[in-house]
Amino acid sequence: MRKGIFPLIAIAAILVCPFAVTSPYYLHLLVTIAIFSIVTLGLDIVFGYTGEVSIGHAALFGIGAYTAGALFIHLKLGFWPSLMLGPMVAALFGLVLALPALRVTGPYLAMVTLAFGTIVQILINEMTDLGPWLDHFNLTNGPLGVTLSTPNFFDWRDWGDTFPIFDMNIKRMREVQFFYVTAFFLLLTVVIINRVLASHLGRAFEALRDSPIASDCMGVSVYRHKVIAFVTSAAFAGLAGVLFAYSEQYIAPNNFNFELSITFLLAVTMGGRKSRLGPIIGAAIVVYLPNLLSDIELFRDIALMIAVVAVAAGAWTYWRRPEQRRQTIVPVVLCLAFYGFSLLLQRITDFKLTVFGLMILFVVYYLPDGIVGFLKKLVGAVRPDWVRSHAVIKAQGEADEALTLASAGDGRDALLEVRQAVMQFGGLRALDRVDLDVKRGTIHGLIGPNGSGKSTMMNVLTGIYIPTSGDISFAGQALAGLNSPQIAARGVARTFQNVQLFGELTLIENVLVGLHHTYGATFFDVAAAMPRARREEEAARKRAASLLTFIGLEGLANEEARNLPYGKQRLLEIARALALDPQLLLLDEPAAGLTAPDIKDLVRIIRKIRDQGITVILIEHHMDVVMSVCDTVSVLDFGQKIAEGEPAEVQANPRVIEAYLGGAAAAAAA
Amino acid sequence: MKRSLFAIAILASTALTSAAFAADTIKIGLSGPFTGGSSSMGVSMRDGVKLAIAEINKAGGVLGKQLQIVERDDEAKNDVGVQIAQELINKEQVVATLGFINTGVGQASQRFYQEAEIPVINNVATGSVLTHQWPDAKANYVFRNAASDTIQSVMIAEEAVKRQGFKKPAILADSTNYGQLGQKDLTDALAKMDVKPVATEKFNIGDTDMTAQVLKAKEAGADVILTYAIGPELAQIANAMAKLGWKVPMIGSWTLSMASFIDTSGPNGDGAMMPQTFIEAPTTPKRKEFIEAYHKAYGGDRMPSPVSAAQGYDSAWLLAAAITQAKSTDGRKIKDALENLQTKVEGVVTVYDKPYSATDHEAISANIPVFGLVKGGRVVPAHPEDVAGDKAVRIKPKS
Amino acid sequence: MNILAQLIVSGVVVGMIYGVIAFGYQLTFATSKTLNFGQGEALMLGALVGLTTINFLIGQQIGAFAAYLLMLPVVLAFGLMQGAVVEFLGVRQAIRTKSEAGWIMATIALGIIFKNLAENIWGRDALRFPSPLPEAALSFAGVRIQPMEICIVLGALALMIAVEIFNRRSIYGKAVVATANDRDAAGLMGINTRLVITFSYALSSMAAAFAGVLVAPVTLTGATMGAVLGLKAFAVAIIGGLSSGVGVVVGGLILGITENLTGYYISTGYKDVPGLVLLLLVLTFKPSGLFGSAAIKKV
Repeated sequence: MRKGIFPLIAIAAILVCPFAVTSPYYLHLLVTIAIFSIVTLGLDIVFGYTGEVSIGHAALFGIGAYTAGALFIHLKLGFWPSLMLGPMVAALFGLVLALPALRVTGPYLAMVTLAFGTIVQILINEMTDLGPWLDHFNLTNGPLGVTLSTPNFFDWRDWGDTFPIFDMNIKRMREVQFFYVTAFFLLLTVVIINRVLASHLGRAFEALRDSPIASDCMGVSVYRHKVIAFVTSAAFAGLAGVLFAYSEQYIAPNNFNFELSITFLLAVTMGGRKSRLGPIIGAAIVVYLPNLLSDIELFRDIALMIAVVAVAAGAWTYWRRPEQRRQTIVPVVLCLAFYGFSLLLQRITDFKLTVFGLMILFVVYYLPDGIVGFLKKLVGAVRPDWVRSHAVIKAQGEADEALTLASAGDGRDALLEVRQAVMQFGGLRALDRVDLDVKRGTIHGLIGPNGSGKSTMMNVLTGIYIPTSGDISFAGQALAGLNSPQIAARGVARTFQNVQLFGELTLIENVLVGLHHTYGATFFDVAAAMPRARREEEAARKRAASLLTFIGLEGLANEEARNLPYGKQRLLEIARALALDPQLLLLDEPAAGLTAPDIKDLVRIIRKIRDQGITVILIEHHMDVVMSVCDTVSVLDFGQKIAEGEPAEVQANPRVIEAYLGGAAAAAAA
Repeated sequence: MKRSLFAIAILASTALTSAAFAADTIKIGLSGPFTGGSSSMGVSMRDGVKLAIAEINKAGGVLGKQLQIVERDDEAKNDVGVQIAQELINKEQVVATLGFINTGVGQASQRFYQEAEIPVINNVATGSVLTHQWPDAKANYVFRNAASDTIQSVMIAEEAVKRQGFKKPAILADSTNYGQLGQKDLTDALAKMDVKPVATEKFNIGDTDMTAQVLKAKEAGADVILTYAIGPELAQIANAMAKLGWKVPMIGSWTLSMASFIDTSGPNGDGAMMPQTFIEAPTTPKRKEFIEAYHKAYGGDRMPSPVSAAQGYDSAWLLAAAITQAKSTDGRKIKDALENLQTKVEGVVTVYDKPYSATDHEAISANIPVFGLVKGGRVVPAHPEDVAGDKAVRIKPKS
Repeated sequence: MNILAQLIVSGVVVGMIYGVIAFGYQLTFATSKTLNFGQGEALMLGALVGLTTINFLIGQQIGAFAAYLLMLPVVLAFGLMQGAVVEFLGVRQAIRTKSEAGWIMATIALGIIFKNLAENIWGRDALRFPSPLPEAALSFAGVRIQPMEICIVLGALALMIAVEIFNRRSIYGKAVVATANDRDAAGLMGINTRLVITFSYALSSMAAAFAGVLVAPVTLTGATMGAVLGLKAFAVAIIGGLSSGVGVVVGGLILGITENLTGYYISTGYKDVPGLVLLLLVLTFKPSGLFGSAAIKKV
């Protein structure tokens, strides 16, 4: 019910707003807030969800604005065509930027986008003369800027000189209309972003942040989805840019500078990441900030208010949460100091940037989840169910629908063939000319002491490591040159020795990430809520529920994965891997840390999987598990395969005993 | 929902702040960069304006009320300028605004004053376009008491080509609005004398190495460098020329008088010439009084940007005179009064005798600025004969 | 020919400055996988503190050259301290919470604050830095170079070599290298990795402050001097690779020289573009940088 009421209130507020706010100054401020909100909501996809930092959104914003500007001065194209093209051009630039920058993790995107921002400013400045081969075309009008005029969408003058209601003149009418148009696009942005984030794409964005490697191995290409997120975000920045150009009516290259990008980031962080409300609140604050920082009296009042709130919150904590006393003292003292600082200041303009910087620091330190995150925490303490960050998925499924039948062979042909695989890390040879044949429909054990190269083998097979030499063929096809998502798409699924779940996602969402390959809906299908997108989502949810039933976790479907006990996390990893509909399942120490009854369950599940025709490679230290389920066992030691055969046979092999117990022990035994 | 909440918050804060300013004053907006690269001009202008306002208020104010300055830092950014313009107009309800250092900020913000019918006096920004942004409009609310680029560029070109006989000028301008507009004006002015610059180079704000630009001018065989840029980068040019062992005269826009050029170029900057509406020298009693009052109020022995300070000071007096004459704080009436100013205003730059008319919104005419010359860390008149005797105060000719 | 040589010489000088700043990025990136987005401001503060010191010393009737030498330890010490402050306020918490956004935002914020404070302390105008060496340019076969420019190149190289030797030879340096290789393992071996990271930030800012006083005599000193340099050094760090000492030097030279050549032969307006395009190309074809080695993923 709450869900239905929120949009209605928002729409009503928007409709009433221009009549409540009669000052053109405040109306323009509201328009600017709406425009900034579109940027920050878009930025949140990249910054909040995928966790990448972009310091180039001002440039993308500028590209949108300049698309409008260039269309206006050259083709006399007005508002609506710009609105179509602006996001597209910005998205294109975003793509060009994201393709190289997102290949590398770490601060690279931040650094590259920072440089990109500079390039764009220079290009806008310089593109006043595209050279003799383009007839000295003046694309951007350079530093002189572009003047446009706010469109008058609907001319009421047919009814007389003033709009019959509220005595509006033409200028006011234009402003009100533009306000409604901007507000409409803000709503549209919220709706689209909501849909995308609730879809398989949104889950992919969150998953890749929690565990990039697991995403890649689930066929959800981290790179690809980061690019999608960035391009989407760029498109929204472009949209906002067009609106901005028509709202300001004059744009120049220095509008779109580094500080604006920082302002956007501050808005998202301060408002609260990973929410719709947060970026909007943040945008409102940063747009209003210059006013706040230009009026010393107002600034002091606000500082006082903050100090009072901080003292109140501090006092509350002091009595109610004695264990947190120490942590709260520092921010409270800082807030008081801030008020003192505001009283000392004679002229605020000189220290405006210092205050701005201090605000960023304060937010980074004490409001890492932003205002919305803080409020959620407060509300969550009272009514936890009000602030769930994940939609509750109620789908039901039967255990016997969990697995699809893998194409069963006759048990003799090899599904996987590894020939002379070598993996060299500097001076260390982790795999030394290893051959491995895994027959279709069998459980193949891979054992050996720690450091013998088992996990390296797993990583080579799933494309995380590229082997130094050797050939791997899977179902008759070479895997050379394929990356992890491509290998996953061919039907190789895995679990991890160190559990790699998407901790902030719920159990069922974790499995849904594994089902990513079942979706064919594009970004636009999702944004437009096409029937196809809904159909696929429903099917996937049902399937995910049955997979959870299969491993016996159906009752915990809507819990966050990080809250699961360790043993259950391992089971969840198996369910997630099975969602990939694999031909080959690689289990890396699934029994580690499990209790005896859990192990029994595990053995039963592994057998069931094999019975569905899925081939399994099992790395395990629990010898009883290996001996009881494996059809064939290979033994690695120091990167070399030292034995292979049926479990019993391998167990008796003296070289294996030597490897496990050391040379001396083996000699004594002999 | 959040929007309505926010609207309420805004309304509440407006109520608070407007209640605080219920006193009986006339509010005058002041917009300029007080932080960042061009802030030395902004701050000098602000100080000049404040000096004048203090004097006016001490003498009883205007229309029996005190003048109140509402100053806002536009950070030399267009969008901040726009926001400030709207704030000054709609929230602070100023009767007029003084300011703008940066042509771009003026271009972006003046529209709002024009629409609201509130006069603006540009006291530092020089972009030619500023006073005729809307050729079709019925009335124009933008005035200026700074030497526009049209005047300056012609002066620079004439000084270089006619008075000093250089034939091969190279133009070095920064990549901002200011530099590029000026570079265009300069090229046009040279073309009228049938001189084509041998090189036209640009550079970005913050560039530390001008070797490429200066080298190009040198290789093109330039015999004089004409500049349109601001202090720090101008100093880099002078220093790069010294490094390359190449000494030709520098003649450029008034910004060559900025302290940031003079101080940082040191001996390399000596000899640079620029049009000046005001040179910090007590050549008349009024100027002496102004210079002394300025240093008494703000300390130091040299103004960061004397031209900005003087023009800022004069703009406040012009506005005060117009409000007095209009007997009203209505924007239209002030505009009419400015266009037909009956009293002579004795400013620092000149004596303003009917400085504006309905069609001419430039108070500074081509005969007013004189060439200044950088010499030993100060700007002195380049041609002492230009400011000797009755030429000390140069008055705009009656049209 | 002379012109080409002149452009290259000027490019080398600027490139070495870029290189030193990028070297600073590399120092902190190695130990903590973070870097200081306010590095340009560290340079600026170094130069301004240097300016105040040298002016004070000259006021004490000390010759410009001697004053410059006496000023160096002050600036280096200040740089060390400033870097430690940045690490303490901006990076430490973010590393603990493994928040990428945290340290980026915090170091940017500190940069903004430092810049604003410098504006309020030293004024908003660019200032002149007294040159310790004669300003008259020397001429080598028609190529002109100021003595101070030679100092920049030599000083930059000397600093980088000194830090490298320190890292290789001293026990403390070995702790830095160990932390760079594997922070967790180094921690288990009893190395105080937090201190090592603080120290790397201190060294990094010291390098920047040193670059500041090197470059100040030939350019201008002021609150805004660092922004552009810090940004260019990003490009250098990416082009050269964040893991290679040689890389930043070569990257710096490439960028400095390309800029000058583009400025002269194409257009001074597009001076900055090729360097940044080069950056995108390097990222596309060799993401770890021209001289960097790819990191091994750990699963």
